[in-house]
Amino acid sequence: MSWSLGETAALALKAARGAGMSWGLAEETAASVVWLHSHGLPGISALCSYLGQYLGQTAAPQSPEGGCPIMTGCALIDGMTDVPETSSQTLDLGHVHAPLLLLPFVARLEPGHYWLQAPGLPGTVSITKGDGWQSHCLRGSGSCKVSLGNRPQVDPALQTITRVDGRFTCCVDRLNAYAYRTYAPATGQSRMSGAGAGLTDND
Amino acid sequence: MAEHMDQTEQAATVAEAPLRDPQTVMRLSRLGAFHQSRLSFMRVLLRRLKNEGWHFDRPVFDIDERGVGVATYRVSGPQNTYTLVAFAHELDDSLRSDRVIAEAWDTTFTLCDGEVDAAQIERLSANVPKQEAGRVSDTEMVLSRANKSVRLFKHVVDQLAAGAQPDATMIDEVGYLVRTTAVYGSGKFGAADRVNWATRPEFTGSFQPEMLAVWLIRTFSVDLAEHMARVAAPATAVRLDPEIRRKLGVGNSTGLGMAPFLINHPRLINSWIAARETALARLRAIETADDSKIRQFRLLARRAAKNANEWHVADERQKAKIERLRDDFNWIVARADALDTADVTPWDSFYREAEATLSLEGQEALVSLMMEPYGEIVDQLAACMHADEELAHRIDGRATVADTITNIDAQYGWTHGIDFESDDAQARVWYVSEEKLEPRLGERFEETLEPYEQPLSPGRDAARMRRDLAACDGESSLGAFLLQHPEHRHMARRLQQVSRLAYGEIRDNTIAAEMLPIDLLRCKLSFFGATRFDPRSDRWLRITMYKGAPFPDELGELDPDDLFYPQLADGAAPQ
Repeated sequence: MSWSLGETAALALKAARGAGMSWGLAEETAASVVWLHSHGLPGISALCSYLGQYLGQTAAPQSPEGGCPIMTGCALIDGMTDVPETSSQTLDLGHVHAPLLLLPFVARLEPGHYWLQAPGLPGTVSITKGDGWQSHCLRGSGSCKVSLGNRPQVDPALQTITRVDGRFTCCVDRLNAYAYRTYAPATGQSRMSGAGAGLTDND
Repeated sequence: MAEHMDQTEQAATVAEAPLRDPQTVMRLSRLGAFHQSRLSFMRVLLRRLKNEGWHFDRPVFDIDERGVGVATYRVSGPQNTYTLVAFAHELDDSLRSDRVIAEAWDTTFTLCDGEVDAAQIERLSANVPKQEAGRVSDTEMVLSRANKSVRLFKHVVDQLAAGAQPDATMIDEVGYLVRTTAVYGSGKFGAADRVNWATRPEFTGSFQPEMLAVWLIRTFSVDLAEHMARVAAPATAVRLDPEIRRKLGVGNSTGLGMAPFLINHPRLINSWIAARETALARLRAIETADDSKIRQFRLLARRAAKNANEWHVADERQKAKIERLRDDFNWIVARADALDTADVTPWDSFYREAEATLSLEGQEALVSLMMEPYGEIVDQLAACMHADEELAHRIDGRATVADTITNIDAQYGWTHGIDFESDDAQARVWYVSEEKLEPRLGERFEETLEPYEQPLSPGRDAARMRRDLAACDGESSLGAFLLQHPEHRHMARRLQQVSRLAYGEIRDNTIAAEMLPIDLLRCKLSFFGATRFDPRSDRWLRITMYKGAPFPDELGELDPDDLFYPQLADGAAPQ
């Protein structure tokens, strides 16, 4: 069992929306999750972990102050914060949940080579280093900083992955439960508002 | 300059007149009047398969006397091989539905990357018949299903079994043996993502794997009918006459799922429309037309007129449009006969007069028709009819609120006359039902649907964002605004995106009470190359694909581009 990145994007979009994010933030979430998987990193798990903290609540927090990795990332790439210009400077992002979701935003900052310092996130990110740091980084939350490096933080050699494999089945199921909240309940009137309603196709 | 230009036209040496204004082109009423053309995806596919000398065969045909089993169709080109795996099933009439919510079909299909072996067929046989409820993998590219046209399929089988050919009138009336009710590609249900194959030369453009699958499904539909005739009467059964066979296309039922696609893919739609508009601009810049082009056009105008005469629908609205189109063709044919090799910019004059004279159906039919004699300057534009949509196009948060308002007014000025507080202007809600995730269009003030609303109303959303921006300091940044108003982030992104795409946005209210979803469907289907648009309501329609086109076994001998308009009866051609 594996999923395409297209499916993964659609799932992340709907799950984030189902958890209460605006459509625009849900789009950023989907982009973050897909970026992570295309680099061999467990974006689905990170999202699952982040949304899980708000299970039963009406909505996830939607401000950088609330520690939302997506809003924090948006503020970064929208140019709302001054990023370091020298290697001796750091940008303090405060307390952020599921910091792995923030990594794609940092990686997209221009002119490049920005590094995310997060709890459990070691120097160069490489999936071959095992899952220990990942799980900490996924589930944890804590103080995050951005600094300027002299090479990419994420190993570019990992950029060829196009499937999400069976290890993520559990998280996919949980995200589907969030996604389900975006679907309207079936009613008789609704059934008649679909295409082709009320006609015979035995012709 | 529109984005398509960076991809293709660096060395443009073909003269071009100005492009048509997006405000003229991107209206639902006009998009809903588009016709197939040389740039349509099924024509692009067949042209390429023919030019590159692709090979076709049928390695497996294991269908029993009840019509149940599996067949494979293999196509091989210069670099790659693809295989359509076709499953035929028994289906109770009570289960035959074209809707997304159906759960069983007469036939199911998948297009595979490369050859298939018995183990792969075994895996697919446990999944493909279930369609959305099954899973395919990254060796599969397309998932599809089709139901029989019960009436015509039975008639064809009965006639062939008796050693006779089917009734020509019935063939013309229905036009296909099976109709697809979904053709899924690009990563759906586990299939390969587009990025896995998009750079292969044979798939340059849009929807090429899907078009290939449908073309092979057409062949399977005929093979299945001929097989059933042989089973019924081995001693007397005959095969379909190739001339009659060619009149059979593949039907397709298309519903609301296709409508959001056009709104969700602004870069792609821009690339399609820009290519078509560029083709028109090239034609209008032609200084003079030589005799052979004029003769060709006169003949094609008559064939297209015949096509309009053979287009029958039950829908009253479309019926009236077709009647007007037939009148328009009388004018087009007469105007074509008046063309002269001495005319200066003949096609520009033709188009200008048509714009002042014809209905939208007629004008757009003419645009498609004018391209026909000029493949040498039109066909190359097909190569730019693609785009990679970004999941989250990066927003320039440093733009000021004042500049953003100016941008909204430039891109969405057409919304100024619409009162989005009125019930009629926001009567509809696009949403997805929990029933097999069927896309639907509901009534906002009759049901509780708003919490499930999809972001498919750019006009209203732009107006709302403008209202909230106007309450802010003009010198503050868009990024700061979005921190306070994350609900506008989707629209802010779209605004910055479409402002660089001349034809990326539909300039009509897509949630208005009077909006017709079939206009969106027809626009997309015309780019596929569909004909015989047959609206069944305001929200779904049936079409025919590949009607008249060659089959794989005759592609070597026939010119596919000459077959999309019906031939004239002997003696009817102009002198």
